[in-house]
Amino acid sequence: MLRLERQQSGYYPALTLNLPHGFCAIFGPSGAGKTHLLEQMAGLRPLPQGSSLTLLDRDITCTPSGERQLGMVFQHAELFPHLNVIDNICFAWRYQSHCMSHAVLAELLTSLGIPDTWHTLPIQRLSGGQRQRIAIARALYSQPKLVLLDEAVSALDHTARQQIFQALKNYQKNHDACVIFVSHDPNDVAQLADYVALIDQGGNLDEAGDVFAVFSHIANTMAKDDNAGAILHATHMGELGQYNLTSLAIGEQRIVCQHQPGRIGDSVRLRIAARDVSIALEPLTNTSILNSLAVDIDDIATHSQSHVMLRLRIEDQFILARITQKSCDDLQLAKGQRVFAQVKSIALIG
Amino acid sequence: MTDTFWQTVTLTLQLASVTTLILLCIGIPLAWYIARSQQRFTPLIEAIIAMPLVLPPSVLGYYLLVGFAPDSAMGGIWQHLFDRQLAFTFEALVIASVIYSAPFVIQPLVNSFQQIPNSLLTAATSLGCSGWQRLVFLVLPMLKSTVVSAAIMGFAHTVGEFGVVLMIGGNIPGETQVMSIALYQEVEMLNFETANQYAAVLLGFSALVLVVVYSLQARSRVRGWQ
Repeated sequence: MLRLERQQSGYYPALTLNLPHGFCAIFGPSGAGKTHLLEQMAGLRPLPQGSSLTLLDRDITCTPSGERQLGMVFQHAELFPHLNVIDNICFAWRYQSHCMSHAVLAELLTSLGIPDTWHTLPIQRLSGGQRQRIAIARALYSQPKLVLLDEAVSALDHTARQQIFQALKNYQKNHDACVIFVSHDPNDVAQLADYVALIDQGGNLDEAGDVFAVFSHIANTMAKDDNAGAILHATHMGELGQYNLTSLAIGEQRIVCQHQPGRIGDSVRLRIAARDVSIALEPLTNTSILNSLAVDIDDIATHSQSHVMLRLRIEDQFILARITQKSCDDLQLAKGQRVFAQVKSIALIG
Repeated sequence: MTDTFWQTVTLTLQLASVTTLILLCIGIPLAWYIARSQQRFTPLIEAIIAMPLVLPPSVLGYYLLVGFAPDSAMGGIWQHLFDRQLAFTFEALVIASVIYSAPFVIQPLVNSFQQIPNSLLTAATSLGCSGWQRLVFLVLPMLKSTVVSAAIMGFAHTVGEFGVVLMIGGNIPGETQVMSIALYQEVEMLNFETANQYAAVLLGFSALVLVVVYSLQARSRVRGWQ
């Protein structure tokens, strides 16, 4: 577990963070100081006087970056231009003793989609996405206990992202590492994080906690984001083969989404964007929208003069819905009311 | 070509080799410090190193001669330690050459070190590199051709130096007589045949050095560095 108590740092305010083991996301808008914070955790930027940083109960406030046993991936890869791919990945071999064995490295490279044919290529020959994979392999090569990712997958396409997320999950599991990543993409956070810390525009800690809970709150920084949306657990219920759809269960209720491979009974994580949910007082018939869920209004928050955010309870989970203030008034929505959520789009994220 | 000729050539190459070696050992860490330092006195260090570029060699030679005298602090310590005077010895030539050729080695290194993006150094730090490990494992391999160019320039400049060597070395065959001084002496003695030989060697060497240095720079440009 990582605990940071930071005093005011330049433009950024004082902050206290307790990040548990596993995948932790730092989410916030551009300019909120997320990278600054990550660099302070890495020891690449000094912490202000009176601050403290502990990793696994070890005080590393004054420990030089090189002795923190960390691996960091930067937004722009920052590969060494005079070295080829494999020499970049194995850079730490020159001066560190706890690097990966050949077999473990080979497994890591395969999981990151780095073929043998790349090994001797100069890095100038690689695309941005390929470079980012090399940077991730380089950061993990010395088997760090703390992995810091600064918008590391923002340059990658969907398929590459999925591959890298899986590789990171495997690494975290095998090395019992603490993976902290900075992102401004709620989909990445929803897919990878177990815990999330929301940083607001001013650099203050808005909220921190379990990613399911934080993403279902309606008054935090995340809820105000255009891409706000809750994350839910669902169970894979099989394919609707002829329509290329997958059936999922949330408690007793069924929904469908675009076909995703999986086995019946598998637990999956899905994300429903608040803007993709509309509300009806009665179940709709004769509609093209496939997913209609019976939900109870748990909370209502006004975000602007024109829009409100509803938190809807389904079993013991929540869905968010962003609707207009006018609709809310016309339907006379109130807390505790049973309504029907029409879901236009569902993202199955893991 | 006489034995004296070869003795002079050998001595010149010895002086240039020892000077270059010392300059690399001192110059690389010093250039790294200057390139990374933000101390207020760093420009003063740079100015002291660059002084031989603007100072007439005779002035530098004169001050070194005074400094090497047995009654000076440095000359006295040398005399005490080695029981012989420092001026007019090979060692004096080495010290003078190191000072005189320092800017030709250190300045290109400082310029190149300063061009390395901070983000790459930060990445190396995040991979567990300490300060000196970044220099040894990242910066020097990355700037290999610059280091070789700087060493060649230092070597060549030492081979060609005249004023300082004349002032503090005298012209002792086998001890302090280098090619540039020997050439001057041969001309004074109207011995143009030997003078031609010295001049031809120096000319050929200088041309070769410049071709090698510019080739290295061209290679660096092709590889995207400097």
